[in-house]
Amino acid sequence: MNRTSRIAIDVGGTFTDVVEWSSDTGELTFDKVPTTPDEPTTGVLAAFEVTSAALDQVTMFTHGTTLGLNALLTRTGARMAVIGTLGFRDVYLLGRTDRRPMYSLTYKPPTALFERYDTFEVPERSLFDGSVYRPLDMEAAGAVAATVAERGYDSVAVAFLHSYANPDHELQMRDILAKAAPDVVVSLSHELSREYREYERTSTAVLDAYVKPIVRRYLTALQDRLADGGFAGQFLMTRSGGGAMTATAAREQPVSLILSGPAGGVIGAAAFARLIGQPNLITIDMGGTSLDASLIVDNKPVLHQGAEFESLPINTPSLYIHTIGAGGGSIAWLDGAGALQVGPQSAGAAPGPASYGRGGTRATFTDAALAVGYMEAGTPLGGRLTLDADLAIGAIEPLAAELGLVPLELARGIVRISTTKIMGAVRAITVEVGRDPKDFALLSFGGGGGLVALDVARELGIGLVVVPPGQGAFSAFGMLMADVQHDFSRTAVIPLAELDETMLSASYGPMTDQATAVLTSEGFDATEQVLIRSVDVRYSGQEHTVTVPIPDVPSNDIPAAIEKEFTDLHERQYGHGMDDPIELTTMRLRATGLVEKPTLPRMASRAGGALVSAGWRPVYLSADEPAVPYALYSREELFAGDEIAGPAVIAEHTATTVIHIGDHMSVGEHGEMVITVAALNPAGKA
Amino acid sequence: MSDTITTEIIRHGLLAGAEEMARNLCRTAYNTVVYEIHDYGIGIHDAAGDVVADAPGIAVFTRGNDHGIKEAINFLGKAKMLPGDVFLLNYPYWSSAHTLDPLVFAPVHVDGQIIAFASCRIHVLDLKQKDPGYVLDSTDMYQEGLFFPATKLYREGEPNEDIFNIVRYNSRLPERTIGDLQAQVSACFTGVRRTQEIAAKYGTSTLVKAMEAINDHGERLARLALAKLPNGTWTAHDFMDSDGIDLDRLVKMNVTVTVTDSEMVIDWTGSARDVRGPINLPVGQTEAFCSLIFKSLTTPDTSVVAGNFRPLRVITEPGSVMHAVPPMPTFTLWTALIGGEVVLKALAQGMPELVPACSGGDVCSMMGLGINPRNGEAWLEATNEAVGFGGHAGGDGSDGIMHLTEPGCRNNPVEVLETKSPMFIESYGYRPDSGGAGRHRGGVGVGRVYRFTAPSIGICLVYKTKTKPWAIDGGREGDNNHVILNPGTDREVVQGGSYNHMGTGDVLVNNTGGGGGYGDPLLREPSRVAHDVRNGFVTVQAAESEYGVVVDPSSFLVDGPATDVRRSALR
Repeated sequence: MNRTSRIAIDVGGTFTDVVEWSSDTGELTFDKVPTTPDEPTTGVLAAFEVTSAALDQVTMFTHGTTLGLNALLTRTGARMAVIGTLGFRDVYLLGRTDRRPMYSLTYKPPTALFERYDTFEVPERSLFDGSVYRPLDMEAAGAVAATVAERGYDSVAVAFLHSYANPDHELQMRDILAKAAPDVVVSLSHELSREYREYERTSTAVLDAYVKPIVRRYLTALQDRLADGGFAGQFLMTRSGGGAMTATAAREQPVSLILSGPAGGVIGAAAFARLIGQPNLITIDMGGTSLDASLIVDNKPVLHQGAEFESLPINTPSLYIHTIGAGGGSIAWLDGAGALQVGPQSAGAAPGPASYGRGGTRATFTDAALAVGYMEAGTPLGGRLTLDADLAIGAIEPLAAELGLVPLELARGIVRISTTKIMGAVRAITVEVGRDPKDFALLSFGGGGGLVALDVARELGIGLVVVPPGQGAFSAFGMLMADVQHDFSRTAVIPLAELDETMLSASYGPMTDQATAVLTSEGFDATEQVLIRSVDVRYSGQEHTVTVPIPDVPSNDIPAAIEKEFTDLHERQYGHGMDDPIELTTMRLRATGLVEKPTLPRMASRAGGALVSAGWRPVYLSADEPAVPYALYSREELFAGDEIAGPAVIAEHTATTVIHIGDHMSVGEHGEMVITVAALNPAGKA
Repeated sequence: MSDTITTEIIRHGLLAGAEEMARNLCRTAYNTVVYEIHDYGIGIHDAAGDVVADAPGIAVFTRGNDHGIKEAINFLGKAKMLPGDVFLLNYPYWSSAHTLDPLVFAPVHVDGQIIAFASCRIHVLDLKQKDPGYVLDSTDMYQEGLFFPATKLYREGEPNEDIFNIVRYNSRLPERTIGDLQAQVSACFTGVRRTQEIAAKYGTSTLVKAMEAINDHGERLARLALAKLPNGTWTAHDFMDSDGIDLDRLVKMNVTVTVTDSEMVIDWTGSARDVRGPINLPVGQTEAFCSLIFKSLTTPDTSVVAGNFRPLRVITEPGSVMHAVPPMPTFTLWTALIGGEVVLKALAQGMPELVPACSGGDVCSMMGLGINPRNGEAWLEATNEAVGFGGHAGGDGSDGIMHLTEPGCRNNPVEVLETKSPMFIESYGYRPDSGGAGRHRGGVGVGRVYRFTAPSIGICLVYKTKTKPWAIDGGREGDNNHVILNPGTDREVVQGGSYNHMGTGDVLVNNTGGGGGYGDPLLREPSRVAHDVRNGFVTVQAAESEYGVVVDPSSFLVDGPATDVRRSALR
């Protein structure tokens, strides 16, 4: 048994994607099995079965799961309590007291994860400088722990004021809980976030505690089943901050799993950026219910602090991913005054678009794309699902009749409205980080991305669209590229000028020790460990910070070098610099354990003959151009170097790419489709 | 492409343009309130100044920019507005807000014709108003700063250095103020460019027609909703605590609201006149907060377009507190925060099932400033505070959330305040029993207790402290906002809006109001009362005295027989 494999399994709402990389042949294979929400381990084991590797041949298994997210969505997480500082038991339930809806007189916040009854407070108090103002009242803490035990909570989040500066009381509270309530799972706020802002830190601990019991049960069951089958390799989980973590780490900090769903695609995009020599990418991943957009800048994913799930903040560094309510299942509807709207409601996977033939009756984006000719009826979508054009038209007809339009005209409108919404959202996230979409290429993957990518790119002035091979399972592919990562941080609000050797070693000494210890225990030797230091800085008096890497210069020169870097970055992100003194707020350390990456196999060139179209199909563009012939190609039949001039439809297993007149596709050396985008002409049609 | 679909595509294109203006602004503004609490108003407007796309900013500015652009068109005439021009307007009586909320706008030209406007309003830091920061006691407009009556900040694409120099040599904070104005200009240029691109792509006449269609559609949505409201005329009043000058005079806000199938008329006739202090409102600001209420009642889920407000008519008496005329002082603006719920109070008489009881009623701002002994530097920290919402036919009012005039505003964390200032927060949390009792109770307010560890100034912009949050249909009033200095000492003072000199060790408590209740509290299901007791929103004592429900303080179970007895006695 010399052959070994690496396997990545990405569990989605409907399908579970699996990618296998065989180390001896270097070959990548992609497949899909149905997701089994009621018995999550079953679907994952089924995914293993469709690979060619036996479990004992798998050296590394990288996994993405929406288990934590689903527990939050359905409010089926742990029965939990939160313990805070005396006088501040309401920190979590109050939150920041803001809300998104602007015009709601009777606003009701989303269902809370627990009641005020489940919040406790203990006499204790630390200050912002880490000094203890009032020691932890052991007796009162013991009484709270006894109540926690008596009430039978599954888990507890402990979040004391200023614990980022002095974690002692939280640690003591854990010991007290361990004695009085040994079965209760505990999350301490400072272990997840060493940053100030009590609500955000508490929320991070609360979400962690809320999903921890469920995640632990799942991982235990899965690890047992895999071990029974002979799996002895490394088990990694993708995390919302990019990279992966060991399953052991995931048991301790499951909060990092919650937003990890789209992470695989972004990690893959960063790797792909390097591979194809396009360091700046906007990624769009269009699935059934929504579209995830993200940015790769200089071959690296963009990170941000301040991620949230449905207004619940998670205060760990996260990939900058924005979800837009525009997916294949987005429903077209008429509002009370007769205007056509698309989304954000979605038909989801069940019943799904009308054309799925699963009982859906409302017209969706997918139905419209099928009706105008972007997709072919009978196209298999994975599993046994095929599209039914009659059902699509049947769902579109009533809406069209109400608007006095022919069905295809309405279908075209649905596609164009979706495209415009996606365009607006992509522009907004790019502008927000001080960038212009024109300076990026667009990387499109996921089932629906290829249907809108060219039009979105054209609207934004983007010149190049890239569609990776295996785009339907690109997220799983990305997981194979994930290194093991850990993030550490310390809040220290001081003038930048005061940052000196003493200060640096006081903060980074312990963080570095911790980082190397963890990576070493995970099996990474010194050559496989990469530690990157950065600081959050801002102009004194501002709230927003910018993260700047600590340059590799003598420590005396560090403040000046950071100042220059910050001023440049601030200029880019905010358009101007200022004269105010610069202040440091947080010191960060990102520790990476490097794993071996698969190299994408090169695709062969065409041996002889020419690429031949499989025919053509009429595509409805407008009332004036109701049946424009689009040449049909099958992606599976393309070779490196092949070229296709638009208009054309390029279908592949589970995805379709549509290019228009003037667009030009050529196949790159790894099988990626590289499409130059025809410029927009004034009539709005390419 | 059919008109319907083209209109929707253009609508999304314009909305994306407005959103991009907002992101651009947040990115480039110097002033933290712009990006922290989205204190801005941004729009793309048709050639008449009517908004067709806006970016969600601060609710109390709803549609406020339209009024300013229209006044500027009246004053200058469109012929004087050239491509590349950008205008600065902060003359309050036209701009709809105080001096420090300047409206910056630019015309959008295609082929020499104005087809649209792009606008951006934010709060800037200093334009030579009498006091740094905020003005609470001006007695005429000349104390409120420099006015720019639709002045060209840019001329045909080039900055008008004369204006920038005037600002530079008058503002106490010239660099930041100019930086913020530049951020507004750049947002407007973004809006102009995107609108011109849409015109180029779809054709100018198509864009103009689509803008008409967008407003017509917005009007239809509003009329459909309006037709479902009961018809009638109702009158109500409430008071501003004082005008900042005549401290013992309550200032009356009197409203008569008439709803027919074709319009809603909000008539402020009978409101106070001869108000000496700066709580008078520019009429555009009165229209804006009335628009906020009208939108909430009719089309809360769609973005703001001017057509939404065609069925709304606002009547004001020039010279009254709701319609300032020169040179009446207008700086404080707080009347707009309190006034909206007076409209609801009138409507509650005719449609009690459609509106909530009164909330705590204000954004309850507390601002501390002084010299920080830890570094010898000046500090200033501020936070708005949440209130309880009123009970309503559909259920309880929410506990502790931001007032309806500034929904996007966030509180300032305890850890941030303590890190950045010599203030120690003793406690921060819900105030049990502050929500008015009712079949659906009012949400509870919150309390934050500050202890100053160095001499400081504590400014409380806290109003609606002299009248209680009103109830509906037999509910009880909520507790009102109030500020307590040094509670439990012989120096204890209970007050409202105030400018306080705090010594080391002095304590300031900012207690916010709860919402009014809805319906008879004796009709509230005992299990819901017990649930509130278990969660500490209602005390055992109040459960018995207000609701007639006897709850065991340790098991939180209802004592049924004792409750029956107690409720009979209360009836």
